[in-house]
Amino acid sequence: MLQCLALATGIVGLAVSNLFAQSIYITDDRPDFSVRVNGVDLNVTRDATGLSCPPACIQPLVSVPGVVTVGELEVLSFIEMQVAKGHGLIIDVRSPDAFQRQTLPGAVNVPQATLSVNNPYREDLLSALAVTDGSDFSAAFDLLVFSDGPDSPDAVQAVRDLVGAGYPPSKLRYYRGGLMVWRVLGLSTAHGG
Amino acid sequence: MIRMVLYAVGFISVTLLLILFQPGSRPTIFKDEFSNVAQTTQGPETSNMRVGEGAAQDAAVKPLIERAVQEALLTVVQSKLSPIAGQGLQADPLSNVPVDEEVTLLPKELVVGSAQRGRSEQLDLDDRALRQLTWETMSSLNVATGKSKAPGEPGSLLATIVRRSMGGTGLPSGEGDAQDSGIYVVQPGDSLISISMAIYGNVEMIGALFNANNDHIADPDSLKVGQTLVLPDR
Repeated sequence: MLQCLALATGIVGLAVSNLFAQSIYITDDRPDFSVRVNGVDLNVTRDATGLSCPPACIQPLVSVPGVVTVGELEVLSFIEMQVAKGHGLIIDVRSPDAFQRQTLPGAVNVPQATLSVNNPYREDLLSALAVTDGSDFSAAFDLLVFSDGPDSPDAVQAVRDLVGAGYPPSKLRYYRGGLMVWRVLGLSTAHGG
Repeated sequence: MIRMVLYAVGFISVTLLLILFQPGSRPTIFKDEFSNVAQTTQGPETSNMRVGEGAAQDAAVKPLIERAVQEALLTVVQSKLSPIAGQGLQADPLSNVPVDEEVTLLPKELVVGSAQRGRSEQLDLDDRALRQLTWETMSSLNVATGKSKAPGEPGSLLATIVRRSMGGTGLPSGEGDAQDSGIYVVQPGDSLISISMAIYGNVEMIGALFNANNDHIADPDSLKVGQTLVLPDR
């Protein structure tokens, strides 16, 4: 009887300890980061209200080898050089609702789901990006892809899908900061559509 | 004695089941009708933990706990969000960082920001919704790239419809009810989108094309080679 009680309390204790989990993972396989430097323990955890990783894991700097990751100044110069002249497009890969609410100035909405391999109409979509016959990318637009921020997997997945569809990596750019960093820096945004 | 054992076994098995399959802990998206913001819910462990924390985090925390409280508080949070990022030094969760004039701390609304983030991969899209989404995306892309005119501008479909309804363009109406201007035979590799682009030069006519051929096309994806499609007027 005592043994049963002990076992029961043990299980309850296990369940209760679960309640005190606070931090979210930094990446899929890394809950935290700890290292010992000069005899001192260094520990980095992540506490992000309302998020969980996956899916909101921190993305690396390089999305796909060959695709340049850019910052805000490069985005501005992209708008000036490519978008204004009609050679480039800024792609917001979030949902249409998020795009409507707030987005980068001059951005167009191409939700990540439409670029995925599972979309049977992807080839038609690529033709709207000036890809001829689904495989000729010589006239295709230069694309700058962004999403919520550095912890959004959407933009990275969209870049991967585009490269997988045959888009030349040299025509793609990944703005890792996303709308989050753009707003933090105080840069002005626009309503989508 | 046997009763104690049975109770213990039952209790332990239920607890283990709950630990293994934590209902409600998978992030789910639901729309808030007031503000059209997609929100995520968190598992029981995180929401329980947050109750004990400081007041500064309450506005961020409560929406995750109860939906009713959520909606009420969302209006409060929203009213605080109207000043754009840059008014950084309000009550922020990073309170253990020494406040320094030169350091701009993350404004609270951006840490809360998960409620504002649109996560498109969580959209549950079936084939029809995905098709609709692709068409709309293509339409907006074509307008953005100048391939087709924005609605209302001369040359756009809307402008044509308005002109027609005002009796502007005298279209031939003496060819029976169909009012069609031709027939198209489906070739291998055609889809409604490619046919629409080839004949009309835009994707807005897909709907009209499908409607005009509703009697022999059940589904926009089921075009067969050799089928004849009635081409409606622009």
